[in-house]
Amino acid sequence: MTCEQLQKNIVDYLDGVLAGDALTVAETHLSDCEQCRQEIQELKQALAWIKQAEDMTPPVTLRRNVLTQLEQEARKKRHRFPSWLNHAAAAAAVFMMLVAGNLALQSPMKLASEAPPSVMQEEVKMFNSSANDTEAPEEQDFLRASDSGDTQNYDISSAEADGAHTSTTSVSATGDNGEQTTKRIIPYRILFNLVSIPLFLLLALLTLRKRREAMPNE
Amino acid sequence: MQYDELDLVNRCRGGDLAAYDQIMQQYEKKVYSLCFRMAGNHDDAADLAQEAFLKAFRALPSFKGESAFATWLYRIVTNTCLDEKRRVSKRPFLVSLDKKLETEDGELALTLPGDSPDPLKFTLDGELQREIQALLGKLPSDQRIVVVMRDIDGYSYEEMADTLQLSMGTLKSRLNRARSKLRELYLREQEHFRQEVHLKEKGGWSHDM
Repeated sequence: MTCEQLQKNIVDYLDGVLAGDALTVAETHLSDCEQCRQEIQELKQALAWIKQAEDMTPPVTLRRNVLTQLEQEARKKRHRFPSWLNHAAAAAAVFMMLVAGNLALQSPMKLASEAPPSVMQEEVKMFNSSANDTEAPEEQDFLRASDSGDTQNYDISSAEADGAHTSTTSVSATGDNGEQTTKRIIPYRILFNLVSIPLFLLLALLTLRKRREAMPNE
Repeated sequence: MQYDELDLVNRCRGGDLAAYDQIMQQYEKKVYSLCFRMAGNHDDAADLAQEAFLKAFRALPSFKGESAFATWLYRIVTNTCLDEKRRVSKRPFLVSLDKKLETEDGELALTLPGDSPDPLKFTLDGELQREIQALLGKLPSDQRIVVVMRDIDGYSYEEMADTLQLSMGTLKSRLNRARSKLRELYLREQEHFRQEVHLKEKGGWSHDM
C-alpha cells in the first residue's frame, strides 16, 4: 500500500469503520511509514482536541421568539381576506369591466380614426346631415329613400336609439359601408350596460352589507 | 418515543403551537449548538436557529415522513446555516471585536453598547471553548459543517449524507479535506501557543496554565 492509498481510507480508518483486509493492509503500511504514522497521530490529536467542544445553551428567548412570530403569522392569515373584501374586489372588477366595455363599444363617431377613410368621410357627411336633423326632414327622407338594405333592421335600431347622438348612428346605418357594423354596435352596448350595471350595484350592496356585519368583530 | 414525535408533528401541521414548542424543546440544544459553530457568535447563532425553526414550521406540510423527522429538521438547519454563510461571505469585511483597532491616535478598543461589558466573556465562558471556536472559524463553511457534525456532534455518515444531501463519496472526501486542514491549523495553533507561553515566561509574566 502506498501513502496515497492510505489517504483514501484515512476517514474510515480514523472513524474505526475500516475492517477486514483493508484494515490489515492499512496497519501494515502504517508500521512501515513513519510519515503516515505521524500524520495519523496528529489527526487523532486534533480531533480529540476539537471533540472537547461543548453543546451550547440556547438563549431562553429562542423558542418564545419563534412562537410569537408564528402566532402573528397565523393571526394574519386568519384575517388576510375578510369576506367583504372578496365582494369589494368583485364589484371593482365589474366596475372596471363596465368602464372598459363602454370605451370599447363607443359609438363609431369616436372610433372614426379606426375606420377606413371612405367610411370616415361618409360618416362626417352623415353627421353634418344629422346635425340638421330636425330642420331638414327632407334630407332624412332622401337618405331613407336611398337605403339599399333591409329597412326592418334600421327600424329596430332607430326604435332603440334615443337622443340626438344615437340618432346619428342610426342614420349612418343607412350608409352603404357602415351599415353592418353600426347596426350591431348599438344593441350590444345597451345589452352590456343592462347586464353589468345591475350586477355592479348588487355586488356593491352585498359588499356594504358584509362589511357592516364584519365591523363589530374587527 | 418515535410515535410520540410523529403525533407531535401531526399536531403541529394542524397549527398547534404548543406541540411545536415541545419539538423545539427537544432539538433546540443540538440546533443551537450547530448554528453557533457555524455562525461563531451568539447573536448570529440565535438568528440562524430562529430562522431555521420558523422555516421548519412553515415547511411542515411538505414533511412526508420519508426520512426521520430529525434528519428533515437538520437538513433545514444546515441549509439555513450554509445559506447564511454564503450571504455573510459576500460582506466586504468583518470587524473583529476581540482585536483592538489601530488608529493614528493609538489603539482603540471596540466596545459594544449594552449590559455585556466584554462580548467575548459573554460569548464563551471557557478559554478552551473559545479556542476551538476560533479554529473552526478558519475552516471554510462546507468543511466546517462536516467536521462539526461528524467529530463534535457524532452523526453517522448516513445521517450526514442524508442531511447534507451529498453522496457518500463526496461526503468522505470533504471530511478528509476538512480534517487535514484542521490538523494543519491545530499544529500551527499549538506552535503559536508554545511561543506565547515562552515569551510570557521570558517576560516574567505569571500565568496559571
